[in-house]
Amino acid sequence: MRKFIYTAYFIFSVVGQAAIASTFVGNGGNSKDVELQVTLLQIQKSLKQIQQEGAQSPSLCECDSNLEGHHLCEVLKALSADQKKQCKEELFQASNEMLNLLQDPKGVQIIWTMEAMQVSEKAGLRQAEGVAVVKDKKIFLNREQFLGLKDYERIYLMTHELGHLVPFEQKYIQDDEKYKSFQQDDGGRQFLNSLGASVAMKSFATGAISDYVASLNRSKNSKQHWIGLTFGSESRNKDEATFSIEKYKGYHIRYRFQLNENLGFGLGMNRLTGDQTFYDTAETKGELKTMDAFVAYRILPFADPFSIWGPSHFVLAAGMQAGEASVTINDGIVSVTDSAKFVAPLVTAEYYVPLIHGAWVQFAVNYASYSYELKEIGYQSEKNHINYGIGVSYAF
Amino acid sequence: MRFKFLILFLVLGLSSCAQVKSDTAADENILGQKLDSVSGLRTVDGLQAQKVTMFDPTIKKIHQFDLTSMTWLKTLSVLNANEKHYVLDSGNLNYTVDLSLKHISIFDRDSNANHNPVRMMGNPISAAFRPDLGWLVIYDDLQSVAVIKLSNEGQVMDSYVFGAVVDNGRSIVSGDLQDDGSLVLALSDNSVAVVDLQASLNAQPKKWISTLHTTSLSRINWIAPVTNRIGRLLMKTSDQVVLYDLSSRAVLQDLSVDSKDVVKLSKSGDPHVVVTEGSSNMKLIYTDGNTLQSRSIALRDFVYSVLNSDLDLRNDSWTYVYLKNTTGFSWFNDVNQKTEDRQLVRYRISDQLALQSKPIDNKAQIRLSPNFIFALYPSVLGYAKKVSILGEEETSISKFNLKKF
Repeated sequence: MRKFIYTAYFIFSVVGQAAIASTFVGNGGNSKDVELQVTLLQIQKSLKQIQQEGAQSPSLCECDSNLEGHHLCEVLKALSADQKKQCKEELFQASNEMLNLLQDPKGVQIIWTMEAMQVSEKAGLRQAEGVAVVKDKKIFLNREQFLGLKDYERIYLMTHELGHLVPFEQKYIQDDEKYKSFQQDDGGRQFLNSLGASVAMKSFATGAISDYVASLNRSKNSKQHWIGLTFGSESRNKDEATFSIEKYKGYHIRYRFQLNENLGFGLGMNRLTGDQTFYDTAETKGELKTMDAFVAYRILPFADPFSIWGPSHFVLAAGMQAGEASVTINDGIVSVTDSAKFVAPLVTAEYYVPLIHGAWVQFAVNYASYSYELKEIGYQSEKNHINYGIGVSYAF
Repeated sequence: MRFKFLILFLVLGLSSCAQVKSDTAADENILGQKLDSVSGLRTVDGLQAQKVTMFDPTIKKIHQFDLTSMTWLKTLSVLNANEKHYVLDSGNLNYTVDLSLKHISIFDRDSNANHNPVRMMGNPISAAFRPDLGWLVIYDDLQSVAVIKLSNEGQVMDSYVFGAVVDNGRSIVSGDLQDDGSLVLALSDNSVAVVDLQASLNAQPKKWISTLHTTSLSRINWIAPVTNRIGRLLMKTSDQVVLYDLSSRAVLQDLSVDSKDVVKLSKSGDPHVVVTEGSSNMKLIYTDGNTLQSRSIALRDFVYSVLNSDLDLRNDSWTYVYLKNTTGFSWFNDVNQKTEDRQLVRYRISDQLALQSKPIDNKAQIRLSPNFIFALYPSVLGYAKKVSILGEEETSISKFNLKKF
């Protein structure tokens, strides 16, 4: 799984470097991928703890009860006494160098790739979730796979890859080589795995895991599919009619496909209804149904990924809507219904605030410019229509 | 003791819930005809009116409809919209009079309003209106009398509000306009005054100018000029119905009636009096101008209360509207006094053949014409119907309120 190899050895099975370049992110963090930032902070906190406790800390390179039975524990439990001793000493020694890599803005660059990665080893090609390039101090990560891991698994993976970029005994460790007490053919990998597992265990002890639960559970704005239900209302104060319903209420269902961070497009369906009684007996019911198509531009104004505002964002959209308005009046003796169709430009502004697990709450303002006449009942609608709403969305 | 009170309460309660207010005292002292929120549907000549003007209490405006085509003509906004309104229409002269508490508006043919050409302090209750002669006389519940001279266009030529005392302490009991434009008044001393309205307005200062006819009649409380017979009056006194001739100053004929048996004093169509004879007969008293006539009609159904009685000698018909299940009555016509369980009956006078008996829609505000019932329903959107009295034809108009608010 975790492969280290020099630059000359790794290949990407689908496309080459050009495709990867477009997914570059720096190691300073990316507000849009809070998992990466959390992982880096968790590793730093654990490494600092290791430095404070020293190589002889009894818990170092030992399984934490929180992960009893997990693969990471098995990694540590499988260590011999010599290997455990080596793990403790060399992790303690390398911790400072690892911290420098993480804290120095020029220390390491982490690059997302959307493509599957393979590395060439002595035994042949192997699938890889992460690849470290020593020369450029870069770590390539498959974004989808990385985000799909649990937070302590991300620590394990990232520490492993960091281990490739740190010299041990003035030498960079490869996966498929023997290293001191790790005399298997992939001793290097086993050694770095023990370091990764140890840092992950330490993250439980330091509380680094629990520190970021809220941030990690918070909904991510990087999703492509957005479907939302907004409950809104529209006030009518300027309609020219006796039977003008003053307030319409209803819902708006909207789907948006996010092409990239900023651009998206979508479709919507809106239904507003209102009722009012005039002169004690004339029950008046109004209905407004529209369909809309729009292009959206997204603005992410905040950078802090650890606050609720970090992932929040504005979506401004412009499009067209087609609809039908109808009014029915019944006074118990006479009933009259009239309807009219219209097409109009539509502008919307929404502000999305993350909840958890893909759910969002959004605040919406929609403006449309249209006017319609219901001749049968002498009704002339106003031209400017603004409705306000609040709702929930799910992004996936 | 408590039980007795309870029984008394129940008896009173049960009887009152089935009664129409019987207020004959308030019905006395009127000039012309009691005011209505719907204009009359019979012209001065006794013909079918071509249009109707009415105050719609639902939207508190006045509507005018063409009755031939059943189309909406116009809607007028009124002052004092929340007050009870009464309407008089001039027919083909195309002006309209709107009356309400302390308020008179006259709308000319172009709907221009002349508000309060005269000021009355009371609530108008009756009016004698002859647009063909240009006279409008309004009587209010404070017994003031407004006399207005109108042009054919509805312009006020002259006006004045007179007090109830006509001459030497004699006050007005009842009255109406004659075909020659004079105002005949029954006075409190049982004399009859024939008022020259124009002379009264011309006087300086303005005052009643009248000719007095002393009579030996007892308490005249209703006076009605006979159709097309100037100088002939049908009157009701405390115990008689009288045909009186002004020129000879003599009673031509009288018929004894007990006031408690009087059901209706009506000027709808030809003037007439309706009295009950026991519980099974109703008697119609009228005049052909020369003698008093009467018809006793056996009731098919016990008539508890007659809301409206219309006599049309020209067309040989008597039409009345009564309530099936309600007792109590008003002496004067008010077909909308109660708007549920009304039944219309028409007889042919000459042979007393019953021509029609049909229910009237509940809640509708109606007016009778010689041939049909015009009904305005309490619809905010607007709904009115013209229903043939003898046939089954119905023509309706609806939604006229929608653009008229």
